[in-house]
Amino acid sequence: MMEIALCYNGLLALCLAMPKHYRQLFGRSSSDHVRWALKIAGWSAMAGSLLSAIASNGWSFGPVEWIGMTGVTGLVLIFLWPFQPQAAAILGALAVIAAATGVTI
Amino acid sequence: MKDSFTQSMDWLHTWGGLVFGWLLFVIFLTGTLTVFDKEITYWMQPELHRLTPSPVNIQAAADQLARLAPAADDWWIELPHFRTPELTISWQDLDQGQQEQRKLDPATGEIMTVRGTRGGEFFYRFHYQLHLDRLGTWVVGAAAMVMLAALATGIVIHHRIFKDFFAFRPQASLQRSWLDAHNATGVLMLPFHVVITFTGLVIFWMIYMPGGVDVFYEGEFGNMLAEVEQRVDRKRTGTPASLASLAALEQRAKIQWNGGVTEWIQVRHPGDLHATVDVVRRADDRLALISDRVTFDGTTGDVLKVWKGEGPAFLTYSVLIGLHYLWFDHATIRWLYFFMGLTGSVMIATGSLLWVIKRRESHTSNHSEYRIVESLNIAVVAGLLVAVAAFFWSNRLWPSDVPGRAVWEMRTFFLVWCLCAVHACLRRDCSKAWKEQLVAAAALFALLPLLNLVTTDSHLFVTLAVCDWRLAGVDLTCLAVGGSLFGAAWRIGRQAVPAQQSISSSIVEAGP
Repeated sequence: MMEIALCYNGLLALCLAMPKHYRQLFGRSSSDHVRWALKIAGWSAMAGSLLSAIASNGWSFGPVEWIGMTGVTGLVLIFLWPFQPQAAAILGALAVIAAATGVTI
Repeated sequence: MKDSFTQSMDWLHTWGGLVFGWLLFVIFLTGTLTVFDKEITYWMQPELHRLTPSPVNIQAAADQLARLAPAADDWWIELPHFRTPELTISWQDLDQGQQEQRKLDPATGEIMTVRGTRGGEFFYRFHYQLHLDRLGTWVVGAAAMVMLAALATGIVIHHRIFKDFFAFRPQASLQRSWLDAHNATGVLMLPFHVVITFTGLVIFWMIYMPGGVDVFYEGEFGNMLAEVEQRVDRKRTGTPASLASLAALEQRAKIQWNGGVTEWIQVRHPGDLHATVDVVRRADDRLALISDRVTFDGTTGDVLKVWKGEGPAFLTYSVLIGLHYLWFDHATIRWLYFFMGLTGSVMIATGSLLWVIKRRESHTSNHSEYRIVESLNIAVVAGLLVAVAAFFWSNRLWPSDVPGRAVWEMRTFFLVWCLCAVHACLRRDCSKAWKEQLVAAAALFALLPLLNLVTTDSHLFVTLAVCDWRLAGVDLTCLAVGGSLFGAAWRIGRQAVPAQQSISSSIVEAGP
């Protein structure tokens, strides 16, 4: 679950790092600082999810699972975003809560 | 050809995609089903559902073989596994050449009467050779080459994909939103698409590039494999000798694998002085599809060879094909492959739909031309879904003692598909044709658990109660697919033309 949470939220942060998507959620433009912070956070979370995948699945299955996970979580994000950006953001928070409380799949 | 690089890439992507798109969709969708081939096969053989995990009686299997096939030159015993609960024995007679097979209760060794079905293997064969044998393998290979070209040209022509990475605009124009869906599914899954297409080609390198095998192994791939796998080849002597205990040999082989389990046992020349026994390890815990093997002298029980797949080239090849075959046991990755395969199918289908939408919106080409393409889109995308559902239905509806039952299931599949194609061609109004076929597929999938309830004792009420996810998963996935297809059909009904977008999103989100 940690892997999914990091992966989804990483993609979410990278999505929000783009000015037009930031405006869709918050209704105003993002500053340069925020954009950079989101980019760094997004890429770090993606790297973290890869490490998490490797930690729990080993070097051979970990990267395979991670690639699948980025694809599928990304798909959820992309197809949810235009309809309900708030829901997409809440989903990210829920994933973090689930990971923090130790939910496993 | 066209003037600029991008234009020529666009030309290749458009026309290569159009001509091979339908074929690629079929290959991708059947491949996606093959991810769960064993589960489908198990679901399609309700007679096996009463089996519970138990210690395997290898000796009973050997006794059955000795009774049924004393003169056979090769015996195979395939041990049960959590994806295939039955014990399978098969043998090949020297003079007849026909391979025979029986399914056994692993605990007692008694023969089980199981309805004739191809199960998931039907989709598997379809996936790689379209049921056309060698010719089909060539056609699928050509399609895979076009797929690689389409992926490369797709990146060139949709050059904004990274700027628009998270852009899906369902409110925008029809063409725009479909293009977004096409790009999103294509780009997000790009690593998967490239790897799965390339590794698919690699599996059949000896068919597509036979030069090396022709020169060094007289065109016999088996000769090469025997050398690579260092098989022990002993000739039959004609002197009878009794066979050592297979159960004991299997136990000794397992010691070599620290924790590995046996997948199958092969006995060559059973009953002869030169009998050899190969015990082969299940490659379930590694990416590389290398099946370790211990070869014994079948008479004395001496170890003749311990093979663990040496050599970097062989390891590379095994990892590549292992990534494609997905024989390792990893439930999360299996489900991810399933969703990625669905997404790939959606990407291909949206590409074919875009061809029509683009021309319909710009009114540049004449009506009959895109009418044909549209009909084919319906017949291939919606029609295949109906046919797959019909295949599942036929498994429950054909009486279990009909001769050639497995073939009748396949005939049902192809007949229904042909009917869908005819319907797609005859129906004037394309959006109605889409809607009708999607509703048909949706109804067939959604009602499958109900049919299962009526015809078997392993329906959802039973399987969910005992948490048998192998069986319940099939029913639940069918329910989810049916629901998604209803959603897609409903959207088409709501807005006569633009609705098909929902197909992509809903199919992707299908499944438990």
